[in-house]
Amino acid sequence: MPASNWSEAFLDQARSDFSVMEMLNESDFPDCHWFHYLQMTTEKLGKAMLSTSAPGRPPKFTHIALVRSLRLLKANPRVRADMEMSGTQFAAYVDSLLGLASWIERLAPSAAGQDGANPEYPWVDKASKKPIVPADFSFSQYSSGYKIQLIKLNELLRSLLKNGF
Amino acid sequence: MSRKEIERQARYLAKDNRAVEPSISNVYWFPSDAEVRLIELIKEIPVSDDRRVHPFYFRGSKKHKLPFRSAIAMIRPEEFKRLELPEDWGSWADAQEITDAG
Repeated sequence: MPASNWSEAFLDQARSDFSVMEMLNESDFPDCHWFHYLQMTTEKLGKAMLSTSAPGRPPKFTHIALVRSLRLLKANPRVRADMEMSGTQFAAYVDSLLGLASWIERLAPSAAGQDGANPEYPWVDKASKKPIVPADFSFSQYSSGYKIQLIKLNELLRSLLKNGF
Repeated sequence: MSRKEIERQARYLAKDNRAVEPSISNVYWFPSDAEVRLIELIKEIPVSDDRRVHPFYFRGSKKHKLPFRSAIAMIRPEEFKRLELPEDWGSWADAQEITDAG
């Protein structure tokens, strides 16, 4: 069924991507797939926020949207009320996610480049000069510095996808 | 919706946003009868990759004193008056600075 506008369309797709991400969380598939869907969920959510609710042509997008969107969400009284936090609490919560957000933005193949880890396409290992297959790479270990932040981002995504923005 | 009510929400958001994001140096309002339109200047964001202002859209919520839809963009201070504005936002000459003093 067609969505009423581009913002709703991207939000619906983000919800679907997030559902797949949750299924992957319970599966034995290589963890690149979970990170791929995380990156896709945040990208679609960012695009939903960058789209007007007016019908018409698809909006023009900028690729790097997650850090910018988090900074703006921090200042959104409705979103922080949905998270049941005060302004100060929510600001600190979002600030703690900015490093992770930047890391996720760099997971997009276009941002990672030919020798940067990304969960979608093989890349060149700088040391051995050989290709690395995402499915054989431990993204869990690669992201180990962000364990708590990943849980917090998951909660924020769940709230945004459920309540909107 | 009246322009005055939209301006009131713009001022509320500008003040609130500054409080939770002290890195915002200036806030500019682009008057419109359709929605709240703000551009916030902040150093801690990446440089625009396409020389355009990309606002994020937030729907209104009467419960949270935000009855109107908001379109808010963050840009770097040096990008002020240099990026292309969204269609129908007018020109940079329409920008009105909102300060804490009102």
